[in-house]
Amino acid sequence: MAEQTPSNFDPFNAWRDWLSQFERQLNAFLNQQMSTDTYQRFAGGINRVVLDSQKAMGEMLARSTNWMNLPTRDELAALSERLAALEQRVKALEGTSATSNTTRSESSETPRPPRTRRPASGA
Amino acid sequence: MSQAEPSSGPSIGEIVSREIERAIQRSIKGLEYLRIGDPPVAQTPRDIIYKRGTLELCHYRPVADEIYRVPLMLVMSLVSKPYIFDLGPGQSLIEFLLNRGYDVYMIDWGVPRPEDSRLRLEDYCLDFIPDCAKRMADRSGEKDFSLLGYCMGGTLALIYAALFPEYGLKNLICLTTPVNYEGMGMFRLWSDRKHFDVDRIVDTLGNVPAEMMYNSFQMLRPATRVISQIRLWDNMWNDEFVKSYRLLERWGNDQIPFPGECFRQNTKELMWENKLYKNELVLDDRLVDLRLITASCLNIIAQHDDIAPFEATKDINQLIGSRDKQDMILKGGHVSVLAGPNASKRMWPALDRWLGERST
Repeated sequence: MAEQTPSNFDPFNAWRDWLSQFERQLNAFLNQQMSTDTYQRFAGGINRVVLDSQKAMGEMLARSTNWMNLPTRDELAALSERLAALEQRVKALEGTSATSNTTRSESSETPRPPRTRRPASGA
Repeated sequence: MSQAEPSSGPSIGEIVSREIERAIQRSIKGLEYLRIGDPPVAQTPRDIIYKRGTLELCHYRPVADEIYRVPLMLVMSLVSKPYIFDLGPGQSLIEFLLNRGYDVYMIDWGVPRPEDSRLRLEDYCLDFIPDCAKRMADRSGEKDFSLLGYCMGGTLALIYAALFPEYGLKNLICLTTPVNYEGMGMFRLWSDRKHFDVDRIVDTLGNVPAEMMYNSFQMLRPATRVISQIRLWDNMWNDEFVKSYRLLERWGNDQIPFPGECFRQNTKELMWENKLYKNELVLDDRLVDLRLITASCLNIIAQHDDIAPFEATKDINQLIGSRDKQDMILKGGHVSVLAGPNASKRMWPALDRWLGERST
């Protein structure tokens, strides 16, 4: 009587398959919980608390920096914006000379192959 | 008396032997993994041909002896860095396209600064993209061009295409691009106006912080964070797996802030009101009417996308006025359809087949 051969059961791959299934099911379960109105109210509440405390902290810091005669974050952001605008205007004024410089460096570094390519014919 | 059939597949002894070998490899390579720093990304040579604020328009240096007539511009989403297009040698869509003879440009939006919190959809679709398109036309000498937008980049590209249908756009590729925000699944639920105070967020924070964006993506699959670590350890013996994991993990963790006013607009007008889908979106007194789009269009949809679900991305070709249009539904998730080993076997060659014959 011939013996039965061992099954092809691979316990390690079975574990891996189980892990993938578990991941899918756990994600689906958690997503279901997070889509309830209760969770969204909770998350919205947490958001409000965090944002309100950040706003309060920001106002307190702004008062402190004003007292110390230092620029606030908003003032620095405005300054940065003005610098960026100035930078743009300088670039615009540089305009033609910058373009010709690019062309010179481009001709030595950037290949310009002909635009004649056709797709490979299908099988 | 029945004869036993010969067994196929490894015996239990071979399985155990394989796993022992892998366990040894895990220990050795696990130490290496801890030692080595972040892998380099965005290695494909390019020239930055235009800078504006944080925006950089990049032109990738052609590598083929001859290239297609029509240049291609990639438009990234505003929520992540664009090197997902160029992860590394052998894992780069840009490298693939260059090898296939495309003339490739990319808009890198950069990392928003505090003053960029004022940027709106109008800035991106009425100013930045047209500006870059013009500069690409000047450099290439070609009026016709193709546009490929990924995720929200595709939404920006769609809006641009509707506002500037006659300005040379020949081919439009939307990759996992949401257009029907009623189909946005969990993101839509979480941004419900009953509980999600977008005004308070933007008024308090300006730009939406990178951490908030990162956490919102993580919450879509909360168990995956832990289980992916287990899976990484299990596959530590597999160099290809680890290389791909490190690159995608690096990108996934490299979130950037979202410009505040654009986030407010995106939430109120797209997510809440679904105005783009209904052709009711107005930017700077101009109606965004998707029916005006006439470019050839390829809509690539990821079958298992939980960031831009199938319901949110499937309707693009029903909304536009193009005659030459095609939907392509591919296996994969939001990221794996674009980058990684499966993308190089599925999406990339499919994109090449479609775009090649339309780039002459």
